[in-house]
Amino acid sequence: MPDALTIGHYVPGDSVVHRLDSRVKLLLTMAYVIVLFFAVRPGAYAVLALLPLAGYLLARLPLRMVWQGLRPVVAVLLLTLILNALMTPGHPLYRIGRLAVTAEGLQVGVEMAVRLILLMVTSTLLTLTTSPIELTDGIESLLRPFRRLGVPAHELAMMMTIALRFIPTLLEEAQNILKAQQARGADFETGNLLRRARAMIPLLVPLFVGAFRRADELATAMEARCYHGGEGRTRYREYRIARSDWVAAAVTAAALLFVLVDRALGV
Amino acid sequence: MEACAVNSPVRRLAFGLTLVQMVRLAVLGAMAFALMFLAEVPLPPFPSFLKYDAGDVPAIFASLAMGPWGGALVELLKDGLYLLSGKSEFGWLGVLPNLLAGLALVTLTGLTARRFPTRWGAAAGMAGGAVAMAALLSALNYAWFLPVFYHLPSEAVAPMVVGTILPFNLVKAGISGALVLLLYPRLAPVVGVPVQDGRVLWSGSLLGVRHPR
Repeated sequence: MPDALTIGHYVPGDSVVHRLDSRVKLLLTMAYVIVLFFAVRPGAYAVLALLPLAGYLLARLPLRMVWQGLRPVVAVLLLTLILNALMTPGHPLYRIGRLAVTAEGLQVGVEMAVRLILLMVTSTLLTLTTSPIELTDGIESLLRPFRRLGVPAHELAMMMTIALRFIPTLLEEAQNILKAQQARGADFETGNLLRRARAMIPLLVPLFVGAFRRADELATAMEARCYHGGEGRTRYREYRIARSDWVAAAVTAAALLFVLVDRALGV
Repeated sequence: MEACAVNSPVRRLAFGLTLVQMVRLAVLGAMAFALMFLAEVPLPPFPSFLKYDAGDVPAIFASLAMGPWGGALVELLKDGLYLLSGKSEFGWLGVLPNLLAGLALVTLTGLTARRFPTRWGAAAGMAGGAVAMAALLSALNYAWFLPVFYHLPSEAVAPMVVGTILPFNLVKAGISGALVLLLYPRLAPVVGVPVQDGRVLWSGSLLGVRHPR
């Protein structure tokens, strides 16, 4: 399962978008998601759609990836559209028995679908162009100001990094145990719910035991190398805000501001 | 090179945890994520987008073994990894309800088991946690997720919440709880679950103690 061994769907690259600081990308995405819910008029949606579109083009990602990301939620989107079209009161356009597709409903439904699509496409752009380890570093850096409130940013990031590193190992181990137990005649696929839950035990017990063994070994290794927390740590990856980060932030801020002003003036 | 005295095995780094505990929790977090990511099983009576995953099992395990906050950390790691993996279609907005529900489940379980460290104490904690999780998710879906996110009118939302979301989450937490009840005593000898008078204690700090095997 080569697919599962690499967590996430990060597409390595060297484009402008890839090279943006992960902190900037995280903050901009979060701001975008919030502002998205303030958009009301088609113009605002158009501006909001241009941002991720520019991102995909600048990142030199094939636009078919947008479709790939959307495919799993097409059913949900259609359901939203249909439910909204049918259940919003207003001028009926088309009657099906006692239900009517209303103009208002259709408008709200399309708006919601567009919103969800933009939400998805933008969230996906972040994880497509930023590796999980960069994102972790970015989150650590963004959480650092909250240290005074008792948020242990470094420790959280350390645990996250260890977890990231262990995922492929654990998946491989799980695969091995699964095959080993099947070779001994274990049956994971038949029977009712309780039976199948019970069948998980010969898989989970060795997995837990192996995981603990590895964790203890790693902790010993870290202690032997004088791990002492984040204080005074020097980093392998250093992040600096570059000019392109300022440009990206300025462009996004202008677009988001436009949306907010449009709402303030529009309604 | 000077030796480092900073790392005595009992040194607490953050959250009152030692390094060994933190690393073990990190690995449990990775395991929780792997179980959630890979092994999603559809539960027949429910619609196909509601799937069971055993991601809560390592988290409940952690909350029994090292208190509610250990479990909470595993949930945080699991959902954080899920967010980083990009598998969550709606980014952090989609992960948030899952995280809140998981936190409700594991902290209640951990707190109850700490008070009553027996099999039935843990079971009661998980039952309470399951109810809290289902109630919280139903409330979130009813008040925020479905109406605001999908803009569904409330008369369409109410039957959806009561008919599928509530029972599904009870079943989901129930299966995870059953798995934990089956697993925990079996892992006792290998990972050093505290034992009193020859019986497994269902709450302790096992992750902090390294036992020779």
